[in-house]
Formats: sequence, C-alpha cells, structure tokens
Amino acid sequence: MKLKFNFDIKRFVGYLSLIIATSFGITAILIALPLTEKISERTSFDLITKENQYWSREYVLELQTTDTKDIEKVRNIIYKRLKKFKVEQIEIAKLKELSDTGNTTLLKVTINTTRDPNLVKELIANQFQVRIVTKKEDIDFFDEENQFAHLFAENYDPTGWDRSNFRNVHITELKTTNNTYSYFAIFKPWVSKQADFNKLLDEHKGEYMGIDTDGFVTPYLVPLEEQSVFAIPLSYQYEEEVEAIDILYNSGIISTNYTLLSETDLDPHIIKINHIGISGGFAISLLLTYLLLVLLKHDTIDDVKRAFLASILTISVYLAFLKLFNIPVDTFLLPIIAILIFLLIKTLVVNLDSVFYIEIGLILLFLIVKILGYGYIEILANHLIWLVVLSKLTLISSGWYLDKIKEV
Amino acid sequence: MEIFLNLWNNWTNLEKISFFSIFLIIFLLIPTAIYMITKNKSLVLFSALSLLSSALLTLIGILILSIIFNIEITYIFLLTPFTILFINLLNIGTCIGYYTLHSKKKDFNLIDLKKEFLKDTTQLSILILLLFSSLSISLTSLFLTFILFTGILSLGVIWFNYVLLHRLVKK
Repeated sequence: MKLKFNFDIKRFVGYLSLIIATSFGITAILIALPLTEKISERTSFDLITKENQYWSREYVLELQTTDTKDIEKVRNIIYKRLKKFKVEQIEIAKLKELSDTGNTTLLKVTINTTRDPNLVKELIANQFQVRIVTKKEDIDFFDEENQFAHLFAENYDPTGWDRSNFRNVHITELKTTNNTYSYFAIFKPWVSKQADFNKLLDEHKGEYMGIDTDGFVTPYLVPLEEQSVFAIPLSYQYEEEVEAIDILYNSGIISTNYTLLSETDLDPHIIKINHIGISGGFAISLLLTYLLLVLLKHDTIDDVKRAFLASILTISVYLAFLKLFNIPVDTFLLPIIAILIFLLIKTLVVNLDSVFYIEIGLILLFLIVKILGYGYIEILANHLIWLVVLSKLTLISSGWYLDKIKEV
Repeated sequence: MEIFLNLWNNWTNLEKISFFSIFLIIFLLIPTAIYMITKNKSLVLFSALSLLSSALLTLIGILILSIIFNIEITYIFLLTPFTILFINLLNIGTCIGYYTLHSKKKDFNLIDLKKEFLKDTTQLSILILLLFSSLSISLTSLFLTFILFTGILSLGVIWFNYVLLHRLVKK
C-alpha cells in the first residue's frame, strides 16, 4: 500500500506567515502594554519618560549695547542655538529696566528642558567670537615659567581674519598622527577669500597660529608642506558636546559683547500624567468606540475590524520601539499622538479615495513644522511623520492578515 | 489681547518668522495643491476659508479661555493649532478625495459631494467625541482643559467646514 502525502506548500507558507504575523503582533502588544516590563527580569521594557529629567533655569545676560537691532540679533542667535540643540522651551525676553550704567541692556533667558545643563549654559553664556591669530614674536611657548602662554589671546597678534570670512566650520572626525580618531573643526573660507587664506597660511608656514575663541586660543602649527585644509583639533569626545560646539560655530556671529550676570534655578514646568492609567483608559475607550461604530452600523464590519487592528498595531509597535530603543518621551504627548493616529487610521479605512491626498498633505505639514517649528510642536511632528508611515504599513498588513484569517 | 502681546514681545524675530512661515506655507500650499488636483475654484475657496476660519476659531477660543474662564494659557496650548490643523486636513482630504474620484463620472453632482461630506464629518465627529471624552475621564487640571478645549474646537472647525462647503459649493 502506498501512502499519498499531500503537501500544499502554498498553504503551508500561508499558515506559517500567519503564525509569524500573530506572534509579532502579540509580542509588540505585550512589550507596549504598561507594566509588562515586570514579566521578564532579563530585559528592561520600561518606557523612559522625560518627566524626571526636566530642569529649569533663568539666565540674565548683560549686553554692552542699547541698540534695538543689536539686541534683536543677540536674541535671534541665542534662540537659534537653543532651537538647534532641541531645547524644549525657550523664552528670551528683554528686561525693561536697563542696568546701572545705562549703556547696557539686560536679557532674560528662561529655559525648561531635559538637555545637558552645562552645554545649555555654554550655548547661552558664550559670545563665541572667533578670530584667527598668530603668535607674537617675543613670546616663547616653551618657557617653563609660563607654561600656559599658548592658551591666552594676549600672546597672539590678530590677523584680521574672523568667523565672517568663513562660510562654514565643518566639525568632523579625522585620523590623528597616533592613528586614533579625534574631532576637528575645518574652517571653510568663502570662495572669494580662498586664495587670500591660502596666502596667509603660506606666509606662516612652520609658525604657530591659533583660533582665538572669546580670549582663549587653540594653537595650530602651520605645516611646512602645502596644505588645503585648515583643521583645528577639538578637545571634545562626546557626541552631545560636539553637537553643541558645532552649533556655536555655525549659528551666526554675535558681535555685541555680553556677559552672564546671574543664573537662577526655577521649578521646571512638567505636565505629569499617569501613563499607565491613561493606557488602560485608552484601551477601554478604543474598544468602546469601535463597539459603538459596529452598533451604529456606520461602516462595514470589515472596515471596523481593519481599522481597529491597525490602530492597536500602530500604537503597540510605536510604544514597543520607544521601549526597546530606550527613546525618552514626553508622556503628555502620547495621548495626543494616540488620538491623532486613531482618527487618521479610521478616516483612511473608510475613505479609500482620499488616502493619497491625506497622507501626502499630513507628511508635508509635519515636514514644514519639523523644519520651522521648535519645542513640543517639532517633537510632535517628528513622531507623527514616522507614525503616518507606520500606520500605512499596519493598514496594509491588517488587511492582509484579516484576509488570510478568512481563508483559514 | 494682553496674552498675545506678551507672547509677541517674548518671541524673537526668528520665532515670529518661523511661526508665520509655517502658517503661510500651509495656507498657500494646500489651496494651490487643491486647485492643481481639482481645478475647482469653489473647492479652493472652501479650503482657504476653512484654514483661515480654523486659525480664527483657535484664536477666539484661546481668548475666551483666558478672558472669560480666566485660564492661564501656557506653552501646551501651542499644540492646539497643530492638532486642529491635523484634523482639518483629514476633513478637507476626505472631501477632495471623493471629488477627484467621482467628478469625472457622468452622474456625478455636487449634492453627492455634500452628502458624502456630511457622512464623513459625522463619522469624524463621533470619533473625536468618543476619543477626547474617554481620555478626559483619566485627566486632571491643565491637561484636561487642553484636551477638552482642543476636542471642542476640533468639532467646531469640522462643522464649520460643513457649513462652508454647503454655502460655497453650488450645483
């Protein structure tokens, strides 16, 4: 007797993909659910919230000017620096009272953020006036009695070259002579100034030049051989520090002298919400909402199932991603994100004719806000760009999944 | 008006330019895109007025909150215009999508568009009502005010859209 073995490969692959998809969905939901981090001790599934990282401080700056244009320029550049550094809340106000001398203006910078306090202070307190200097002939950098002579601006002569002669200062990692990697600031002159700059370097071949930043100099020994790159070594190692120095070099030139007069700690503004309670509330509300939609018979049952599954999957995958990659999040943004994504998915499912226009319109809106906005609006737009893409994927996979289930 | 003046004075020029650029680009881009897609002037006017009215309603809403209800307007309320814009785009998008798909059919007339838009607006309203109100149960203080305010305003904006479409789009 011969046994007939009927093996349908297509059916087998179908079942297998269904099992994999189900496992993936359940895993994402389990990781996303609050308190499931307690299930396993091996891996941490905690949602990292930003609430405890917030700090707030008020800085008062004294500007050596009373000219409205100059004051506005300083405000703009400090704002630009802090915005680029992704400081959540910035307020830069001109204080009505002038300082005692009457020739200066007071500027109050109020910050509420989770970013590194030291680097934020650097971005606010440093004028960051950059000049290229050459060593004074009578100064000896190897004098043992004055070991730090190379660091002070008074030991150098100005060359007339400053930051305005350079279109950009590019910060990058380069190989050093010790075969290790270190960060460098590459000064790129304007095309019209390139020849003059090369001439300046030629004139000082084998001599010490330097970058004077607010009175402190980073020396640079001009090599004897021909060279086209003017790269100054940086003493920073961490990415966040390098990001801050990049911002200081490339956010505009503050020509008005100013000093940090005072800094005062404030109570941070934090919107605390119970994200565990809200997650539970949301799950129930989503169930009730879709149950009501079924009862109202507004949509077909297939549409409701697809929208419901896609909503659950989108939020679960998103939360699982945040948890697995330890991405800190402002918890008060989560309910707003969830509401908007639920609305989007439901609208897309029942308006198939509008999917393209809505998706393109929203992605354009988020990109514009991401480029021009700052603070929480920018953070929200940034999350939503990815969520619109994710919801597209979950909508497709939910449709496929429900069809496969029907086949089974 | 004091809240707007305070906000205005505390903003740097760069902030003012960025803020207005966002709205200007959106207000120009969306009606232009709609004109290119539909070639229908009524729908272009509808989208432009809808965006303008949503901005106006938000401003009036914030004023009412501040003056009548004496609620402190903090940075979180900057998220309201963004949320409203999102919901408004969903609402306008459904209308444009339906029009582009059906306008070339022989039996198409604008009454169908109005009917479909009424259906979409009702569905969106139900969802907004359910989601915002269910979330409100678990919230307190300022965030609750923000959620309620944004939810009510969203409903106002999408129903204002319906009135606009009804008035602007003729047979």
